[in-house]
Amino acid sequence: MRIRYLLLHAYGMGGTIRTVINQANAMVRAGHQVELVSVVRRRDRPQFALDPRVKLSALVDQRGGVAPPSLGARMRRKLRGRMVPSGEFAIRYFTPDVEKAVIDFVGGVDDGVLVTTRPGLNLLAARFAPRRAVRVAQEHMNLATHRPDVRQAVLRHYRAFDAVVTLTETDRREYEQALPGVRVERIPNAVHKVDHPHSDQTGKIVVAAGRLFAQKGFDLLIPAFAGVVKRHRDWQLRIYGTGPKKDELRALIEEHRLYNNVFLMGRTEHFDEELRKASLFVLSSRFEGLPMVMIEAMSHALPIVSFDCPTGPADVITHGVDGLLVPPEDVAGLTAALNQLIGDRDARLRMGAAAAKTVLDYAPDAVMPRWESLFRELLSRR
Amino acid sequence: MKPHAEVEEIWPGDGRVRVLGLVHGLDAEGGLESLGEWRAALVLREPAGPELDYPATVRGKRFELSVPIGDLIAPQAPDKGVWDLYLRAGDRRLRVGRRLDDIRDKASIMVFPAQLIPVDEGFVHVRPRYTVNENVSIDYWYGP
Repeated sequence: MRIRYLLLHAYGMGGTIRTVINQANAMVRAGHQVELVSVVRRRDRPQFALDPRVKLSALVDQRGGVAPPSLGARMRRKLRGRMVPSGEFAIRYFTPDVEKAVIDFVGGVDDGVLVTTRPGLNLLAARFAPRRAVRVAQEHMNLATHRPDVRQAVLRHYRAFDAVVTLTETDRREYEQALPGVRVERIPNAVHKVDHPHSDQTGKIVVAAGRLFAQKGFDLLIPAFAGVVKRHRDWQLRIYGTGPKKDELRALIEEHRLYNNVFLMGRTEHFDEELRKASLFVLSSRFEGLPMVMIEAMSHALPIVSFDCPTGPADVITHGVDGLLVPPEDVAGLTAALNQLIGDRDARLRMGAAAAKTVLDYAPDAVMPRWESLFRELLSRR
Repeated sequence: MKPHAEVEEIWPGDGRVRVLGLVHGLDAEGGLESLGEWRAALVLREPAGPELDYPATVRGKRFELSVPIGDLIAPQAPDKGVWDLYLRAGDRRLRVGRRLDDIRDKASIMVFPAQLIPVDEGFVHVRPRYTVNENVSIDYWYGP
């Protein structure tokens, strides 16, 4: 099969990028002809390991900066209107030139499978990719989280797709209701491997991880952990990641006098090892698609304490079995759930073992064949 | 490894810096208390200079010390300076640090708030921190 993946920035960091590169690698290993097309290029090399057999290219080279839009591109946008709604979280990338480059590219794909990976790209593919190609839209967040203008455009244009693929069953049902008659599949992301050394549940460490910005809810987690330290003075919360909210989070740590217990760890190259040393993983996000870092933690037999935010945690975790779910943004509830597991090592061992079983569904061997068979089936209908 | 005073908690506040932890690598037949009176010592490193001395307690392996930040503005260096922190009994001096855990790069991860002492038009900021060798020093500097 010939499979083309279109990513906004294949040279960047982030969950979607890592996931799509993993998929491209798996498909090329399965013997398919795979291309990874990056809409923009802002770095020399991809940040995640890409199989050299995957053909990588970029539509707009922005290594020297973002060029001001050409007159022609500006005129076309004036005439045609904005193709990508301004509520797209990555709207700043979609300059008139970038939009045109994407339209030209998807317009030229007339065989094989075209996989697009975020709303802006999906909308352009839905409208401009020829029907001869099999067009597959990936949703890496969830429908409920998109802003109203994006949601409206999704409802209007996604009918063109041969399949829309979500990460969770919750989101699959949402799309199915919103787009009657459209094929909607759920294929979760795969973690890179599932057979990690397990936590021995002796480290007095709770781990959280993610970009330091509002979505991840670390501003809720830090006050919640203040309630943990009151009872368990020698436990630590280690938050891995970098981002624009670092100074605010540091101030919050000071405000709650948590500088002996809560640490902003920055980036690490040994995250697997850090997870193994921990005894709990906590997810405080306001929303998610499918939180892969949580699944990664579960593969180390870490039980999870998580807000039941849309979407992901409730799709992965069975409350009381492999973790505890807390109502979204309920800080006191998060404290109580953390204290419950911190005070009960047997429960952590039991739930951790269950978590390590749960994640087998997210092993590459379990996930990648599902993409292959979906593409094969869609192509065979051509 | 040389004996040292392993930090568990540092509490800057109320005009003091309080440090709690465990003495590591040092034993005495009659217990650590028998080694004499335990004191907290501050040694001005930059610029090299005087030494300050305060009471400290050691019970079993556990130590606690507390230093008043108001004393730290050295007359020979009113604008800035660095004090190194020790726990000592007589001539036996243990550096205060945190070397037994698994967090490296402490200076950027274990960060403590600064306290302010009003001076003239501005403030002297006083902040405990970990050095590259994971020892505790207390910085002060004049600023707005």
